Amino acid sequence: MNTRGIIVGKILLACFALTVLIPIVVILVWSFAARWPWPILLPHSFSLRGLQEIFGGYSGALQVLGSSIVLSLIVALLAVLIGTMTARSLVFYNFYGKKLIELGTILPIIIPSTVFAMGVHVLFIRFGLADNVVGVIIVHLICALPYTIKIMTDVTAAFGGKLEEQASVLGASPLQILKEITLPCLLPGIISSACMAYIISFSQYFLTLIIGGGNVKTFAVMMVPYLQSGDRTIASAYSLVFICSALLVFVIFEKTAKRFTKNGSNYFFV
Amino acid sequence: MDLQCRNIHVSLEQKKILTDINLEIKSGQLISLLGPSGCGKSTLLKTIAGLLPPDQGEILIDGKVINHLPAHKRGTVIVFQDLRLFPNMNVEENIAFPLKMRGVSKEIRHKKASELLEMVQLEGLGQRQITQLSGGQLQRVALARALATSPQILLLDEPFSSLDENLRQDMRNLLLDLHKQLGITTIMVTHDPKEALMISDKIAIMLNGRIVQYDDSRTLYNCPANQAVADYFGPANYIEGEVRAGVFQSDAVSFRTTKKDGRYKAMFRPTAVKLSTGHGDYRIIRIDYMGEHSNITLQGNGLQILLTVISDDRLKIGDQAAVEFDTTKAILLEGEASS
Repeated sequence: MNTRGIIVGKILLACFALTVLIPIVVILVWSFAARWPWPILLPHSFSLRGLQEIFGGYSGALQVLGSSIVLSLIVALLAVLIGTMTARSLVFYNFYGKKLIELGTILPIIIPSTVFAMGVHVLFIRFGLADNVVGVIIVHLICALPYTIKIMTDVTAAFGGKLEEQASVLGASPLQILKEITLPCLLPGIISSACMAYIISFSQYFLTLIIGGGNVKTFAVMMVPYLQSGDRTIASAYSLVFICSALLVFVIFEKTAKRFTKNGSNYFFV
Repeated sequence: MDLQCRNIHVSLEQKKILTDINLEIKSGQLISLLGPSGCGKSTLLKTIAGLLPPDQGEILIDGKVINHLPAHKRGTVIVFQDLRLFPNMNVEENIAFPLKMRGVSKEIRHKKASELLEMVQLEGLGQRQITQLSGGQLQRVALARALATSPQILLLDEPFSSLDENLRQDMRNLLLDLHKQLGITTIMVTHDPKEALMISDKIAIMLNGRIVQYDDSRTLYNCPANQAVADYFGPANYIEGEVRAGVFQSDAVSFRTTKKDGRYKAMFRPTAVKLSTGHGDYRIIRIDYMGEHSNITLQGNGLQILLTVISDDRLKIGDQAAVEFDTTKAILLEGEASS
C-alpha cells in the first residue's frame, strides 16, 4: 500500500476509535459531574453522588449487577451450547425440514421483540414461566440464539469436518476429537457468540420487564428509568459500570476458554 | 498386513460411487489407485479407513473382517491431499498427536516425534508453527504424523499433487525409501500414470467407480484390458484389422500373432512407429515441438498416425513420408468397434 493509503487508513481508524471513545469519555465525566449545563465545556461542579448510588449499598445496585451477570452468563452458556449443536446439524446433516429450521433460527431477528413479546407473554403465563427467572432466561435465549447460531454456522462451515476425519483415522476417539480438535478450532466462534449472547441478554430491558413482571430485576431494568428520568449523573454511573462489567466478562470468557483448550492465539484481548 | 476388499459397493447421497470393488494387497506391497478425478479413488480410501460405510461388501485385514471397527480403531491411516495438519498445534504436537491419543507419556512422545522428524529429514523443526513451513515440509510433517500411528495400512490420497515436479520427485524417493525401510502395506491414489508406473508394485485402474484392471506396471502398460485403460497411459494409434490363421491383417500393417481369429485393434504407442521421409503414402499434417522430442501427426491410407521422433528441423508440414510399425511393440485389443 502507498503512503497516502496508509495515512487515509490511519485517519479512518482514528475516526472509528473516537466515535467509540468520545461517548465513553463523556459518560465518564458525567458520572462525576454535579452540574454540567450547556454550552459550558467542563462541568461546573463535581460530586460523588453517582458512585454512592451504585457502591453506597442502599440502592442494591451491586447485588442486582451480580445476579444480572450470573443470569446473562447462563444465557450465554446455553446459547453457545444450543447454537453450536444447531450449527453442526445444519452444516453436516441433511434432514427433512432443514430449510424451515434455518428460517426459524433467524425469525427472532426479523420480527421485532415488541411484537412477539405479547405472544410469548401469554404463552409463558399459561406454562407458569411468566414472572420468574426461568422465563426471562428463555426469552433472552430466543433473542440471542439467532446470532449464536449464525456465528457458529459460519465457523463450523469454515472449519468443516475434515480435521475431525483426519483425527479419527489417526486414532482419536470421538470424545478426544471433541476436546483436541473440534473445540479448539471452533474457539473463535465460541468466544464471539458467547460475548454476543451475553451482551444481548445483559442489555435486554423490555422483554425482561414484560416476562419478569418486576420480579426479575436486572441491571438494565434498574438503569433505564434513570436514563429516561434525565438524572444524567446516576445514569452515566450506571452506564459506566455496565460497560466495564461487560468488558470484564469478555476478558474472563477468553481467558477461561484458552485455559481449557491451551490455544495460543488471541481473539479480542492481549 | 494383507488387505482385501470384497465386493465393495458404496453410495453417497443415493448416488452410486463404487461398484463391486475387489482388491487384494499383499503385506508390504505398495500399490497405486490410478484414475481420472471423480472416479471414486478417494471414496475407496475413505471406505477402507472406516470414514464411509460400504452398502455391501467386506474389508479384511490379515483375513479378519474389519467392517465393524470404527475409523479410530482400524489402524488404517490416510494422508489426505489437503494434508489436514492441525492448526492449533506446532509441528511436534501434530506428529505426536496419534501417540497422545493412545496415552503415551510426554517424554516418549517427544523422543518418537524427533525420530520421525529425522526420518522425513526435518530435524530440529519440531517447535515451528505449521504456518512457518513450506509446502514440501508440510507434506513431510503429514507423512511423519501418519507414520507415528504405526499404521497397518497407509493410505495416501494424491499426496504430492500440490508440489512442483522437483519436489514431487524428492517426495517419491522419500516415500520409496520409507516404504523399503518400514514395509508398510501402502495404497497411493494418483491421477498421474507416470507416477503410478514409477513407484508401484501393482496398479489398479479405476474408471467410473469400478476397478477395470489390477496388474503390475509392465503388464498394465503392455497388455491393457481395453482401450480406456490403454488411453489412460497416453495417446496411441489404433489400427483396425482381423486375425486370420495367426496373422493380423490390415491395410496399413500386417504381422504374426498368437491371438485367436477375430476382429482386433492393433495399438501402437507413438514411440512404436518410425518415420522415414522423402516418399511414402503419408503426409505430415502437424508438428508439435517439445524440445528434445517432437510429436508428428501424419495422414494417409485413411488413417491418422501419431509418432514421436527426436526433433529434426528438416521436417515440414506437407512433407511426404513413410512409416514403419515396430510390430514387436504392437498390442492387440479384442473385438472392439471403432471409437
